[in-house]
Amino acid sequence: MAEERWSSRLGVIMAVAGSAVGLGNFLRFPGQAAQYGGGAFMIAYFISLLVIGLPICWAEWTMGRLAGQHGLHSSPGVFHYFLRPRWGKYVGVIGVVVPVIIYMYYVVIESWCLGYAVNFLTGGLNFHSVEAAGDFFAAFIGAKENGFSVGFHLDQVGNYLILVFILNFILIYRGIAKGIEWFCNWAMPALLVLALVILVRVLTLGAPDPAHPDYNVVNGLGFMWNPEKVVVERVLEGAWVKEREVVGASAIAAAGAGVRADPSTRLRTVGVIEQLLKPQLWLAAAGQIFFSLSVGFGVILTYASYLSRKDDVVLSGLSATSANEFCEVGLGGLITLPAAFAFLGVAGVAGMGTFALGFQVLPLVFAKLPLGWFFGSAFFFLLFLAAITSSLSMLQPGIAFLEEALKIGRRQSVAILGFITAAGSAFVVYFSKDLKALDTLDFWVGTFLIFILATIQILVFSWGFGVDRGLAEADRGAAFPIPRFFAPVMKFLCPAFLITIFCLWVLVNVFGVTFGGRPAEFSGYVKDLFIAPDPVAWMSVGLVAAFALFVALLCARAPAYSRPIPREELP
Amino acid sequence: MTLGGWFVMIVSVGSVTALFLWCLWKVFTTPEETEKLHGFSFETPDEAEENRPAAADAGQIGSGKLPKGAHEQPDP
Repeated sequence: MAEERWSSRLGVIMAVAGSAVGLGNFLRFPGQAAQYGGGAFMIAYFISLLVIGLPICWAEWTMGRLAGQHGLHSSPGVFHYFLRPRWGKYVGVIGVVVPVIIYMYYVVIESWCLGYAVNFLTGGLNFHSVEAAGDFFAAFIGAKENGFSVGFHLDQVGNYLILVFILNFILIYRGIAKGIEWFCNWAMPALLVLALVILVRVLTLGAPDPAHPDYNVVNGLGFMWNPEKVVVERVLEGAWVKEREVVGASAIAAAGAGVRADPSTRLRTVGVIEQLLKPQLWLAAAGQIFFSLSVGFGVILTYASYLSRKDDVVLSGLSATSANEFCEVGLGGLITLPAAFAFLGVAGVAGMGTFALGFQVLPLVFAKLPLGWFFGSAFFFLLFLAAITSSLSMLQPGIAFLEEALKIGRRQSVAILGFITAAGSAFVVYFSKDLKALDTLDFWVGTFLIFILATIQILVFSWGFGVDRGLAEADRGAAFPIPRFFAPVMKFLCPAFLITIFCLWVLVNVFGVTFGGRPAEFSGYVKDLFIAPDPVAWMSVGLVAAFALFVALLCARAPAYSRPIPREELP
Repeated sequence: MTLGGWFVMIVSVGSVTALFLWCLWKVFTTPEETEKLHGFSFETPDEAEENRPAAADAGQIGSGKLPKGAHEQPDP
């Protein structure tokens, strides 16, 4: 009996972890940490987790559950319930746009995972050089030219994308509970064990390339965790400009000798505070927290709306958060980034794109394992399964919205959503050159829009609904109450933090405002739209705008979001 | 890797691991918590309703109503 209880409790934990863990933990997080320089990103990341991630996660669970008691299950419905004026529902449009647009590129990456699992089995991924791994990946996803990935060989992504897309919709159409239960009970623990095996192998890699002894795992950990950076700077037009970063004692000594020989260069230690003054870094760190925890997605709002008031939203939110963080920081980050540094060095790590790092680096790790083809295939297949559970959850907000707005059944909603997401995924997979479409959507939706929705949610929860009422509502059915020091955090610190980051980001990256005499640094994503316009970046943003308009029009016509909330049901 | 790097890494990895273990302990020791803890993997009421032909015939789908017992009414 006792054993049965333990197994059911373990099953519940695995169910929570299984639905929370996905590609964001093992692939997006290392890519983001690498892109934003490691150490300082991690500090911003942990501050974001405590100050905004966890509080907004709890706020979202609570808001969703309360609105669900009154029959509203989509993001426009939840905001209609909490804001009440006629425009309230339009705020919720973001909560439908975000999961549906992210789904469009998320399934493409899922298909990469499946493709890698198959190619490991066929021996196509036994690489011994960084160049070979990079060339395969570029050809596989069509990074060199638009449309090049749309092929149907084993080493092209076309077959896998169709298979993954059909599988997703069969699962969501026919019901997913049993399939996900199997995954959570078996595949999730297997993924964790396998990740631990890979972690041990990565930490014992040493310096895989004898020609570059500085490219080693300890320096890789240093790149990720050192709070201070050492950089070589060169004077250009009277100003010192960063040339490269150096990590490790011998690399710093060699760089010092080079600097002494060239007076136009200098070696400088960049402190934590200076690194943390970049708003783009904070936006990315907060965005990664939101992406991992599914906060600001609309997903929690929808799923929480199906819960009863006796369900525990506090421990549910915290358990999902802790499982995510354990997989992300303890496994995903410690595996991919140090391995990437060991094979590519600091210069190679930074320019790989958000999701690409793991696909180019992990095959090299598996090549150094006995039975590497088996472990590689198993790892990418389990990652594919983990991704499926996440992508299925991204469809539910869209399905719930169409059901509510159009008064149609689930299967009709699934069919409409299938058509829309198929068109979007085809766009992402076709415009594959330099992953421009995917990266643009991932920033403007996967970071920017999520950030906006999360900010609105915490304002509605803390100021609109009232933080004390909100915390009391969250505590219903909870195994423990939310500690009350989170009340001022939710009411003052969290909104101030989010609004400050946002305003600074806009000032620096959109308007080119500079601080401390440094040259203006526009975000690459802003450059792609306004400074050096890129047609694919514009089409990607246009896709988001068109879908948002479609959702807003449905909202405008939906009776469910027009009826006044009866006085006795008011929040 | 600097001393500061080791410190930040050990504190960060240690704290997320400790938090995960604490959540496991809390779930294992809180009575009836298995009934109250949820991720995104349960069968949603609209899905359950769709899988019941009788309910579909009655035209309840998409009405915003939930199947009986799928979730409870608000506490008074």
